[in-house]
Amino acid sequence: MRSFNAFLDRAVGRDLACGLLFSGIALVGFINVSGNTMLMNTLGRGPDPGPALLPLTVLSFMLLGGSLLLLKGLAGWALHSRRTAEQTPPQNNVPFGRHTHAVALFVSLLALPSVVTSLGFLPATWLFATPWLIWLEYRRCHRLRRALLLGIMTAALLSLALYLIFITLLGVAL
Amino acid sequence: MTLRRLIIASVLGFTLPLSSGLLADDFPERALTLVVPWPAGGAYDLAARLMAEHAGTALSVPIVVQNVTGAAGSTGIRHVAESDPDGYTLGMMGTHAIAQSYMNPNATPLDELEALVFIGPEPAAFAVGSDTGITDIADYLQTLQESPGAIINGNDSPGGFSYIAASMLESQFDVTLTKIPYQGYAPTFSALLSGEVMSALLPIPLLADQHASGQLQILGVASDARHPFAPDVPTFKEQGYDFTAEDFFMLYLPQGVPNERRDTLESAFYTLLEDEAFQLAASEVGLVIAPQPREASSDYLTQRADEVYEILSSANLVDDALTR
Amino acid sequence: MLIDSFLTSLLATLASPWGLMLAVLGTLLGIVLGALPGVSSTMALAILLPLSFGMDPAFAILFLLCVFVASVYGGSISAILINIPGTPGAIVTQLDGHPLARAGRAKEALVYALIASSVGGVIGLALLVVTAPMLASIAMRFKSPEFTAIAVFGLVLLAYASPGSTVRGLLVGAVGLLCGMVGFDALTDVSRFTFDTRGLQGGIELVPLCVGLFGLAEVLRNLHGSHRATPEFDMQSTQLPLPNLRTIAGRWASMLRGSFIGAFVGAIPAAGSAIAVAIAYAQEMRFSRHPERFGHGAVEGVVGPEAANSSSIGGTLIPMMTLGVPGDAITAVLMGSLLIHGLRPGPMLFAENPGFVSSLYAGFFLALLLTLVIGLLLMRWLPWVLRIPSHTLLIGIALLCVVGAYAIRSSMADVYIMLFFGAVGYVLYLLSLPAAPLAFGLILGPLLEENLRRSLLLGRGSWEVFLHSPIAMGLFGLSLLAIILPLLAPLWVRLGNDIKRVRMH
Repeated sequence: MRSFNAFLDRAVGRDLACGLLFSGIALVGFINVSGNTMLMNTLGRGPDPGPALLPLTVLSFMLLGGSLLLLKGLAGWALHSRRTAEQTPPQNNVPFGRHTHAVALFVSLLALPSVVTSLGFLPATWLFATPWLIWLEYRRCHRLRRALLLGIMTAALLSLALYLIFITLLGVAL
Repeated sequence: MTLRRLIIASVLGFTLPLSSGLLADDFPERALTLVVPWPAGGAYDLAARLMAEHAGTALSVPIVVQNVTGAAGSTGIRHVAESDPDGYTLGMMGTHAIAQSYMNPNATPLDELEALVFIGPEPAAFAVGSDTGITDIADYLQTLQESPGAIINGNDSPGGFSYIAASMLESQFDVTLTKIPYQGYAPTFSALLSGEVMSALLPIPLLADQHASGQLQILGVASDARHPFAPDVPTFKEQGYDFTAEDFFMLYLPQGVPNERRDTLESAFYTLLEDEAFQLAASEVGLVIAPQPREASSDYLTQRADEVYEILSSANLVDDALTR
Repeated sequence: MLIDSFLTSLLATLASPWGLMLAVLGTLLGIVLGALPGVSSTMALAILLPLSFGMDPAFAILFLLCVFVASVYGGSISAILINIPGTPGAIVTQLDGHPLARAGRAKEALVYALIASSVGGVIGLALLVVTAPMLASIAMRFKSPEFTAIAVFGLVLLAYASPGSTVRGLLVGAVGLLCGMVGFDALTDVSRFTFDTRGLQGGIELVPLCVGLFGLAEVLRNLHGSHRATPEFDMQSTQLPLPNLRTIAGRWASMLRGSFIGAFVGAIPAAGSAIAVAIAYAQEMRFSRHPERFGHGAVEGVVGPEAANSSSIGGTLIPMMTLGVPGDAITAVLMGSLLIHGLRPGPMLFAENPGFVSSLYAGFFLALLLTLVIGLLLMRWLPWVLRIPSHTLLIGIALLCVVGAYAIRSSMADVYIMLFFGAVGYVLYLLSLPAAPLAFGLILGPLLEENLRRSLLLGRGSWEVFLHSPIAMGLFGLSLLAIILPLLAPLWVRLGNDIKRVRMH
């Protein structure tokens, strides 16, 4: 994790990662378009370029740009590693687990829609918000009882407010 | 102050349905959801919201209109088909649902839906731009027979009603149009006004004003009767052409709703549609209301499905997996 | 005569307590709904439309106009305070508005947004009243080739609107273009990039994308540091004296530019406010002496787009009022409500019901006025909102993102799309890539593709259709100019320095 963060913090690492990202997306796109026979069949038929041309053009542009970034990154890396062999490695003060919270929240949000459909909106949001608010409050003040009390109450208020505004007042069918 | 008002309003809104639910009969005991597969603002939405507004005349519970849009209308249809068949969720559909069921393997097949009440037809009118110089249907057809494809027609993309109507026109009179697709009626209409396209088959309420002001000319109404919004325009039949092209509005349920509930809903909506105040309000916005009971609606749907299938298959638009 | 009937109907509305009450209620609801992420102006109108059924037509349209106008400003509140655009028209407001808020200048940013919004709205209204017939006839000349040219122009501007490296901005923009292709092709209904899933058939809507990319990604980014004291919302600095009128008036150039862009783009059917603000933002950046400040709290970056956002309301009403063609989804809803009251906008409305037309204009003006007054009053509650501990706010926003994404069209697929773009936004942040081009690409891509291909269909396969359109050629020329100018600019500067040096000698 530490090395990953350090990697992204360097311009060379960013170039490599961006290059990989864009050429990766372009490759997935190419595979998808070429696998879509209905789409590919429209190429060169009729007076307009058809629905396949622009995707292919954009994907080619992206593949080109992605590869260029990748090349730039590789070249930079080659130069860089030669240089770092002589100098001391750069210090980084990125704390470990910078992304843990983000990933955890994302995963819990990913599970939320299915919990909402099975349990209903109010219990699901309360179940989601309570642990998070307790933990985040605890992390802030390090007093368990206060965190528990505040967390449970705020979560209840929060989900009730959302319920009242969206479900009752606006008639969203959740 | 906002917040307080909001809370009061929401608390009121929260408790009212509860208390009324306790007093009401078995079914329906809470609000019905009417799913409209198109965004707010269109004719479908208009009809649905009018029904919701007049719900009190036939139902003890309110109707909540919900717009579930996307994928040429098939998202909304699927939403209804996959909802609990408890009678609380019903939907509104038209020609698009039939077309999608044959064109899109991911769309809901028609046999997963149950027709409830036919609301009314939406007849199309055939209009040309005023700068085309075409004044009647004979003139139009002659132009096309002399040089096929000479007329640029604006329509939906292939699954939409105005595309199907244009294809029907082509096969009926054995002519070829240059069909230019637009995303819905409003862009087609502005293309007709701006002269980008020369003709279009669109619902009459959209065209009536511009016909009256001379910006475009309606050549004929593709229906059995004239339309109150354009009483001076004769139907195709009056002019000697046997051509009708109608979209329609129909209420439907997911398959598997208990029979008593289905019958309750049928009679309630039938009463609502027959209601005088509702009919008046509907005619003011140009909707034609001609309700039909469930059996007849179901027959109508089957018949239209056959017609649409024919058109789509002759245009090579039926998906390979869905051929009959 | 027009002014007379305008004033008469304005006074009539003000004189009736019922009308004024409805207008105030509409404004309040509009600001609150607009500020809620995921509730676009369109949705706010659609939700409140049933309320207006029972009202007198003039009051109904007044109520809805108030909701509409207020929700446009409301959208920028959440954009500035929590970096989530409340409405699509506010997507660029946050680019500079939120950095201002983080620097403790939230109130200032809100005041600027509110004033710019009011000024833009009034200019949009004035343009609507005065030039409606003329603008409408120009807008009606916009056919497919002209729309293609508009999209190309927008894409060229997009290249400059992305901070940092242009190539990377363009690549992110390309991802946005691809996102715009997901779903059914507009012309042939062939499905693209759906990966055989039903959820993607509906395409990627702008709002879930923006909510994820700008809202959720922001939450994910800030969660780690949430246990520290909340430096973003420094109570002291929100109490800073507000900018005085002179300072605000000093931004007149940005406001005027934004207003005219907004009104004109809005007047083009189907263009809409999101495109107007994107162009306005890019324009402000091109005109600015300090383009590097954009994205870090440049006041022009808030003022210009906000003025454009608000004046595009007047713009979108032009085709609706004069031709009966709704310019975007919002006016489509508005038109629907007019229809329900038996009033059909279009050329006949002016002839048959001129009184109603002027009362509509008066209602619009009142809506702007009320939004300004109520907006300023609501600012007193601002510190109270900002006192909420950041972790509570973050979890609340995360939940709002989910509910809001669902609420747009009641689709769980949109929630997953929103979550996906939340992750994308986080990855873009890790890679120091700009996120805004993705949204611009999503807006402009479909516009470009649909119209380019339709132009070619109309031209029966020949590119000559573009040569026959002076407007399109003019726009292509402008795009070319926009590409060449930055290349020439260094030369220009050098020339200027040379001249200076010559003078000094």
